[in-house]
Formats: sequence, structure tokens, C-alpha cells
Amino acid sequence: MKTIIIGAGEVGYHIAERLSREGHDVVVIERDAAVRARVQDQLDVMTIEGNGSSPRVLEEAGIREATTLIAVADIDEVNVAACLLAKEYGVATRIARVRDPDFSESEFLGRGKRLGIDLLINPNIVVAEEILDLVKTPAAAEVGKFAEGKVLMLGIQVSSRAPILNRPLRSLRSFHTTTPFLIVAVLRHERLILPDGETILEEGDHIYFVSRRESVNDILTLLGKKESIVERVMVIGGGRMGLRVAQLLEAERFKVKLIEHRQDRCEELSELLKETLILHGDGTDVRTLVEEGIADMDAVVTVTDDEATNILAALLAKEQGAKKVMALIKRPQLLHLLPHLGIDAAISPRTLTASVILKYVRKGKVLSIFEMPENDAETLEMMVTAESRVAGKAIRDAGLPSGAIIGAVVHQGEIVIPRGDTVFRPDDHVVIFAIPSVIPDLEKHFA
Amino acid sequence: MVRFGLVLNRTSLVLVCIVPFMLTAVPFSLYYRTDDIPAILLAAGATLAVSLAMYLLTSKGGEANHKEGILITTLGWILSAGFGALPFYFYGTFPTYTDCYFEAMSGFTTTGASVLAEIEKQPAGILFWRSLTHWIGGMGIVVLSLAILPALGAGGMQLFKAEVPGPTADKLVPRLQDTAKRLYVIYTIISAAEVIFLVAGGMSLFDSLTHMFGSMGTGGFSPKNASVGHYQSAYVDLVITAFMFIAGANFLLHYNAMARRDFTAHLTDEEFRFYSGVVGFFTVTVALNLILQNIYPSFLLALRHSLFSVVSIITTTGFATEDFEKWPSYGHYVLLFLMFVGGCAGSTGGAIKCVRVWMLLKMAANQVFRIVHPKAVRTIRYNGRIVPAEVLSGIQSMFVLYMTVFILSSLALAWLGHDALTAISAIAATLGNVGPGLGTVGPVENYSHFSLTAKWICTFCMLVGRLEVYSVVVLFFPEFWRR
Repeated sequence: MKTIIIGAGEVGYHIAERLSREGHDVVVIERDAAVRARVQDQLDVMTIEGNGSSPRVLEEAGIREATTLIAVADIDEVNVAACLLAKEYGVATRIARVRDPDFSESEFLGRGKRLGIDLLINPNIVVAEEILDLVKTPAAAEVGKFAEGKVLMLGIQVSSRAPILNRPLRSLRSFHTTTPFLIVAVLRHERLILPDGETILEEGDHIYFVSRRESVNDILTLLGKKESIVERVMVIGGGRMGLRVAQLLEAERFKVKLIEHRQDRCEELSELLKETLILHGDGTDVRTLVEEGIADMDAVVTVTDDEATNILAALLAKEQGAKKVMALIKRPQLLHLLPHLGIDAAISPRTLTASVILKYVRKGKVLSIFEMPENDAETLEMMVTAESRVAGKAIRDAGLPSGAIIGAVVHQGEIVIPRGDTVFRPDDHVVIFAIPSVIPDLEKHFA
Repeated sequence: MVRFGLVLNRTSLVLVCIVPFMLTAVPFSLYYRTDDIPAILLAAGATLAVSLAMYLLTSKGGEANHKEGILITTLGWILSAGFGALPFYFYGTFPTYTDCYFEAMSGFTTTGASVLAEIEKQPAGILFWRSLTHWIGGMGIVVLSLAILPALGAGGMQLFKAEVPGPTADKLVPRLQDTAKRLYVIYTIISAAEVIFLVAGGMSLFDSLTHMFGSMGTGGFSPKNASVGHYQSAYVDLVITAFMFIAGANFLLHYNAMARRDFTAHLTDEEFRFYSGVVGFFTVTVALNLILQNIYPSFLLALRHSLFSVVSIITTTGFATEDFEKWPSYGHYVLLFLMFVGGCAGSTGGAIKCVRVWMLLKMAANQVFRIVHPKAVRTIRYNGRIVPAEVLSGIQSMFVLYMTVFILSSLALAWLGHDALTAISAIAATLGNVGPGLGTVGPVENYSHFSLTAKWICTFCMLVGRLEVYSVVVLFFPEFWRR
């Protein structure tokens, strides 16, 4: 499988790393010599310096043999042109990141189909949808949706009052019969642990669990959290992203306040947003925040273009009493800092965009995918077919790699939280938590 | 900060790769009924045991960073020579371990400088292993390890860069392991072709294999005292010349020609044209000089010996058909000069490499041009592409470092009492991975009369030359070890 990636920014680099580890032959095209050199040094890929929309460069990258093209350069037009060319060269799968909604939402272009784009990703939309999920589940730092949203995977900090603390996980078995759920991973002191029955949770652990959507509240009680009703949301930053978030929140009938510091943008926003209260001001100005009732906010989202402002505004909001604060962070290296600072959830456009692309590249076998930001693990939803090697086998006999944990099996619409004797049947959907190195092996088991 | 556990762990993976190769010497010992089997088996066992222990006792986690990559490669070479010396040591080929180490390092670095006087008295297995080290070291121990053990893959690019000769390390295909595999496949195919040609010419299989190892690795160990001159055959000379020439060219070109059916790959490559031009020019002038000085009766004979010697030295192989020490001084001087030029980037040859010499000439010409036109904007191009400034400065400083090591080491040999020609040519020949020099280390002599100190200096130069100076010299900078 030969994959060409255009642009070695955060998303391109991350996808190149994942795909090369999973056994793809990856060629990265990058304009900047220094960035290209860094990729060449650190990843097992081939790199070419040049413009990704140039036919000469694409031919040098071997576009005639490529099966997939992923265009994630900074410039929308480069990505679009590359996909148009790739179609003519006969590349089977063409993916482009396009930020301009005029492109991504044009009826005429049919979500990029007319431009030769099979999957068009507008990160602003993807991120806004993630923010909506996080607003709706106040206790969670991360939310992954599987089986059409019926199965959730949540990432949650265990509180000091949690009844689950200081006893091995196997003692939860009685609880499992009424509200089935499974803890698939524990993040402790920035190390990922794959738990078994003997694992004992400690205060401060960040856990990932899989359960049915309707049982989430019971499980939160067990973890010492209470799910509250969310009503008031403040959005700080009125750019493309802020607008999109506010639109989604409005549609779900939240009470939204949006702070934007440019007067003319505020006027534009007030035309585009009917229900939202548009405020002209600085999101890092405490007086403005207090006056606008930051203490009563159920959720605060900071989505300005500057991540330092986002972190600062989120910290101020938290300090002033906002219940859940979320910050948009572009640089992945900063993500792991946020829990220490007291910011409840970090939103990473890179991780989200990469998740969508990876899911599409692995299509057929993988229905859904949720990447743990910076934990080097992901959760996949895979389908069992009659030809799958695991079909008809019980989990314990299926010979699955040790870096993978089955979180849930969806059988004819019924969600089963699995045990060793749960049998995989054709058409089952399986939610699997896995570390990247075992993913190729997993794909073989389900192919 | 260097993580030694990780470095030792990865180094063990490099080291273990030589074990199966050691064992391939055993069938020849069996066939020729020689008494070296216990020594070879013991050496293989010891190497396996030590590398296993290193692997199991150290941490596996993490990816090697830039510095660790360099250290792994250099340490891998030092240890491979250390354990590659064991068959000689256990068999008692040499009186001291220093000699064994010298011979093994000379083998792996494809130098071909020997401390063995009576070669033909050695048993078949030992001679086979001695030549085989050339073949392994030619394409590279780390590349071999990358090809057969995926575990090195993480951070492997650093190791690859530290080992592959040339100013930039190019991959053939996106994945490093595939690149390493393909390099070895091409290498094996060309090697097999040479064996077929030699066997077809009437050479025994054992001699064909060992001479193939010597020419494909551009090493120069021969199982015969008189080297290739033993056969006194124009056919053998020609075949070996051709394969030395191939091995001294960039394997990327061979790959493009063979796998991608790009038959013009060689003709359009600047370095290959320079390499061929240098070989052609000096072959003809040396032959003319030999004829004018009445050394050989016919021009054809002069041409044959001149071609063999020029190719043998520029590719840094060091096989000999004639004692070129007896040639007039022009021939001497050409060969001494060619020891510095060396083969192409991405070849199995050593020394400075044609591409660097060519670039240095271009830079010098550019500088002259600027004196005439101070405002001219001129870029240096190579194969039609602009060469980045950091590559150019890398070439310049490699040249300076190479010459510095050359001068300091030859001064040290002179200090020890060797005559100037011996001191200069011995270092040029070991640093350039050529093998035979001039003076008392000429093509019909060897290095056995050197003192222990002199042998260690030469051994060090072989390693420095094979890893193209940087990877070894950087370890002597305190900055490398500073946290």
C-alpha cells in the first residue's frame, strides 16, 4: 500500500507516523526543507521537497503506483489541486483537508466529489462536533462514540470520593450485571496501563471506559462524579471555529454567550447567529468575564486562533467558577499539560482530523475510531464478517494480540460487555482499545 | 543524554547478525577437511551468547535518537570486529589478539590490509571467514541488521545515515527495512553473477566465492599469497576488474537500472560519469607511461595491468595482479592519489568518494568565477538540482576532518620510525579502506612488521574511514557526552 501525504504539519506528520508503523509505504511531500529533513530523520518514510500540487513533484513521489493521497498542506488550493491531479493519475483514494466552508459546503461541488476528493475534511466542523459532545457530557475529558452513538467511550479523572477506589477491579463484577461497563485503560502519571481484574485504581487516575450511553450516569456515580444538567455555555473566540460551535450549540437549545474582541466581526456574528448573545470584549479580561456571569457557566469553550489566549482564558474561567472549561490546543506537545493546570478537556484539531483520516484510510474494516490525544493508543470499532478469522470464536480463544482489549460487542443491536467466553459472530460490531503496534495484526484478525 | 541500556540493546542486534555468517565457513572446513571447525563454532557460540546477554540484560523501550544512532553504529562496528576476530584468535592464526583484531577490522571495513604473511597455509574455514567479512562490511553490518531484524527499525534512519557512505543517505523505497532488503538483494544478485563468471573461467568455487567477497565488498583479501596475480589470466583479471568497478559505483543506480528498468540511470548520473572519467583517464595515462618506460612488451598488456590497478585502488579494493611498486613513479603517484578519491556514494568503496571530490572541484570553480564576477549569483547543482548549503559545508568539513586524521595518523607512524612513504601510504590505504600501500606495505608485502601501536593506529583509521569520519570523530568531542 503506497500512500502519498502532502504537507508535514501536525496532521500530516502524525498520519505519516501512524501509517508507516502500520506497514504502509509512505511518501511525504513537504515544501519546507527544514521540516522535510526532520520528517526524514524521525520517521520511516520517504520524503520529497516540493510543492504537492506540482505534477513533476507528484510523479517523483511515485503517484502512478500510489493507492491513497492525503492532502493536508496548509493551503486549501494546494490540497484541491493535488486531488484533482491524483484523480487523473488514477489514485484510488483521495483525501483533502479544506478549511474554507465555501469549498467544503458547496452544493455544486458535492462535498468535494467534483474536485476528485473522496473525503473532504473541514477540521472546523469536526472540532465543533467534538466540542458539542464534550459540552453534553460535563464529566468527561474525552468522548468517543461507537455503534452509531449507542456505545460511548469516556475519559474521566477518578475523584477522591469515588467508591471504586482502593479495591481491585474484579470486585466490580456484581455491579457489571446491572450496568455493564469495562475499563479499558488507565492513565497514571502519564503512563498507560492496560488493566486486569487485579488492578486497583488510585486517586488521580485518568480512566477510559466503554459503556452503553444510557448507563453512563450510574457509572459516573461509581467514579464519584455527578452528571449535571448543562444549560449555559460561553464561547470565547468568534472566528470560523467559534461561529461553528455557537451554531451547533444554538441548534441544541443551549444558552450561548460568545465573546469576540473585534468589533466588525461581532457585527458579522450578530447577523449569522440568531439566539447567541454576542459580546464585544477580551476573553482574558477578568472583569468582562465576571460581568457576563462566568461563575454561572456550565461550560466554557475557548477557541481563539491563539492557543496561549485559549489556555489563559480557560484558566481564568475555571478560577472564576465555571464548571467545565475546554481549550482548543493546536500543538500536541502541550496537551498533556492541561490536566495539571485544571483545564477539564483539551480539544486538539490535529488528533481529531487525523482520526477521521485514519478511519477512512482503513475503511471497510474499521467503522469508527477514537484516538487518545498523546497517549499513543486508540479505540477502534471493527466489524466481524463471515470470513474473519475471529468469527465463531470466543474472545479467549481468538488469539488477539495482548495490546488490545475488547471494550464492547454489539450483537444485533444489543450491547454486550464482553467476557472471556463471549463469542464473535458475523455482523457483530466490536469496540477495541488498542496500542498502535498491534493494529495491523488486529486488522488481519477481522479481515 | 545517551541511554546506554538502549545503545547496548540495539548494538546486540547488529552483532548477532554476524553469527549465521560465521557458520557458513563450516561447510568449507568440512569439505577441505581442515582443523578449524572448533575455533569457528566456539567463536560463533561466544558471539551469540554475548549478544543474547546484551539483548536480554538491557532495556528495549524507546527509539534511538540522533546521538544514540551514531553510537550504536560505531559500537556495532567495533564489536563486530572484536567478535569477528575470534575465529582467528581461537584457531591461533596470529600470535596476538591485536593481529586478529587488525585482520577482522580490515575485513569488515573492506580495507584488505593484512598482517597474514603465509595466507595459503591457513585452513579453508578461516580464509573463508576472512574474505566473507568483506562482503558483510561492504554493504554494511547495520544495513544487514536492518534488513533481517525489524527490531532496529525504530530510529533506524540514524543508524543508516551513520553507516551508508556519501554526503546524503538516500532510500530506495519509503521503508527503511525494504530499502535495506533491496540493497542486499541487488548486492546478492550481482555477487552471484560474479561467481558464475569466475567459475565459468575455471576457478574453483571456493576461490570464486572468496574473490567475489573481496571484489564486491571492495575489500581485497585474497586466499592466495600472490592475490589475483596468482591466476595469471586475462579473463580473471577482466571479470574481477568489471565487478570491482560495479561495486565501486552507487547501488542506487544499479537498483534503478535493474528494478526500475531505467537503463540510462548510470549515463545520466554526474558522479558515475566523473568516476568513469577518472578511471578512464588514469588507466590510459598510466598504460602510456608504462609503455614509454618499457615496463611491458605490449600496450594491451600494459593497459590490462594499468586498468586492474587503477580500478582496484580507486574502488579501494586493493587486489593486485602486479607489484605496482616496481612501476615508474607516475604509476605510484597516481595510485597514491586515487587512494584519496575512492568510489562513489552508496557503493561498497571507501575514502572521500567521487561525489565529494567532484563537489569540491565545483565549489572551487565557483569561487574562481566569483572573483571575475563578484556580483554573480551562481548555485551549485548536482544532477540538475541545487545542492543545499549544509550539504556543501558538510562535504568541506568532511574533507578537512579526513585530511586531519590522515596527517595526524601518518605523523604518528613517522614518529614510530617508519619512512615517509610507508607512513603516508599506510594511512592513506587504511583510512581509505584500500589495503596495500607503498614502501614497506606494498602490494606484495603486508602490515605484520608494524608494532602493536602502529597496528592500532591503522585499525582506528580503517574504522574512521569506513564510517566517513564524522560518526567516529564525534565521539571524541566532549559536547557529545554532555547532558
